[in-house]
Amino acid sequence: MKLYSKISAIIFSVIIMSVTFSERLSAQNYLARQLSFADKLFSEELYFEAITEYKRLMFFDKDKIHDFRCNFNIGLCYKYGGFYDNAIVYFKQAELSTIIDEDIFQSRIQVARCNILRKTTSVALSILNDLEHETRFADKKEDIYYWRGWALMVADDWENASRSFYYIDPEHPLKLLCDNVEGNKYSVTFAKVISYILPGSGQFYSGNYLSGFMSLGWNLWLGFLTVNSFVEDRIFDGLVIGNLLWLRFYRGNVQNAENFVLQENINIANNAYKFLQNNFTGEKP
Amino acid sequence: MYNNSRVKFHIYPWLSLILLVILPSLHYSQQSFNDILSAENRLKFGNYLFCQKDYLRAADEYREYLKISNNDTLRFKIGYSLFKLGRFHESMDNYKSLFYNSALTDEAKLQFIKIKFLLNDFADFRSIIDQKNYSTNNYPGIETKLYQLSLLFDDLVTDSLLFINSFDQDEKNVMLKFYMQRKYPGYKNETTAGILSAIIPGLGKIYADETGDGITSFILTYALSFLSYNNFKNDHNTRGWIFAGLAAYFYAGNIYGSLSAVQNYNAALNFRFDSDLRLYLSQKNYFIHEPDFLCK
Repeated sequence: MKLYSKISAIIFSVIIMSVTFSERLSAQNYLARQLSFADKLFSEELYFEAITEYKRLMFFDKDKIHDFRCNFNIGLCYKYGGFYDNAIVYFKQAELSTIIDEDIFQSRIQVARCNILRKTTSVALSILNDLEHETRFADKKEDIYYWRGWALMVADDWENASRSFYYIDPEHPLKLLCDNVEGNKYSVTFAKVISYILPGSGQFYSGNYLSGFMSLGWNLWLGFLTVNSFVEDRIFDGLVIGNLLWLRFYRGNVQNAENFVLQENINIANNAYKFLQNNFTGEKP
Repeated sequence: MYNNSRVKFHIYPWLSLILLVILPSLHYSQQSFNDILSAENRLKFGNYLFCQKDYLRAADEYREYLKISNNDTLRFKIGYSLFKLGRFHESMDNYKSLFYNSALTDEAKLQFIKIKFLLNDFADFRSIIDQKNYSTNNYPGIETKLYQLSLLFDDLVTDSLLFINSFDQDEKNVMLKFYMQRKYPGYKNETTAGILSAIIPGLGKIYADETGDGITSFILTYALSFLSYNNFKNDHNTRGWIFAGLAAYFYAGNIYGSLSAVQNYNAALNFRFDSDLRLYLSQKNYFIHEPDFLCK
């Protein structure tokens, strides 16, 4: 009788427990299935459908167990689709839906990476600065330096980008790339100064020889006409030719030199960006 | 042995009971997963997406729901979603499906008319309004307002009183302002500008509100003319002809520039009128009160 009572009590408890928890357990089970379905779409790069299923999961996940993962993955979907503004919204929501430091860090880094991609690099740098000053992320310095380097590269500040990669590794490949770009770039100030001294020399400096010769020729000829007018006492002619023609070409020569150098620098930076996009195998924003 | 046999004897009903309780709950897991995609849940999820302004996905969910059950509100919301996504023609086709035997017929027709108005083909818009098929029973006032506004956009308003009286009391002052702007826009005259510039270079540009350009034109034309005169006077005939050519070029350019400045001035007036009126209409939602279920 005693054994019978014990067994009956155990069985009764099991029934009560199963009735109580079965619904909850099965709810978790179907949410897990929904999550794996959404993850499958995500891994198959069906981002539009994946977003729908993650959103559906969040809608039915009353206990908000999967909120971080869903928001984070929706952010990734939008990011991969090029919708950076939407991606940032979801990464921020992901950050708010977790208390785990690693998750918070990853969410914020993703926000910074989206800002790099949409070229709002000042925002990216501000986020990275904030992360750097938080003591709980002290062991994440390398990540912060890495993405700061990327932000600075996109902002065309190769010198500081190089410095940022240097903190990770003095021989970091991206540091070497930044140094290379910085070394190849032309100096705008130098081009302007030599153009003031000898018209056309700024264009020679940036490799635009024909433009340099043209500029030199115009300035010599118009300079001669101006001086000649003054020598022949045609003061008004001298003033008009000097102001309207010679100064226009002299000023144009300096501006031209500046524009050529800027264009050459853009070409050098673009070549580096092409390399980063097509040949660089490390992590990209 | 006795006890064991008793246990065996009594355990079967208990086991049966356990299986009765646990097996359905295991089955419930699969069922609940499928339930997420049930029509009811699709509707709930669609409404959530709609309120989140994720119109593309909301419309998809509503379409799935409509495969199982008819719902005019959802058809309306699909039309609204497509309108918000800028898919105007698709949206109008959706609204058309509500034109007959629906409680939302008038609302759908209003939205249809609004989209027609937004397409900027006002002649086509008026022909639609003139066809009584598209008229609403309860909102004839809104149709009249939009009809009169389409005439205003096309500068075809002939009766100012009829125009103003189409609007509510609180709208009349604003509409009167727009009407006066359209009727008396303050255009500058191209011929006047040309003649002024021909008499005094640059004056046509000053007339067209481009004072800086006008003064520059004046100085350049007179400086080049003087240079030409001075060179001829000093027997520098070649330079005299060069400066004369330049002066003539700048003189002609100044006249052409004045005409162009007047055209720009008039185009800016039209643009300002159009954008001001559109902004006002947009703020008033084209006089249409949207249904409450649109999650505003």
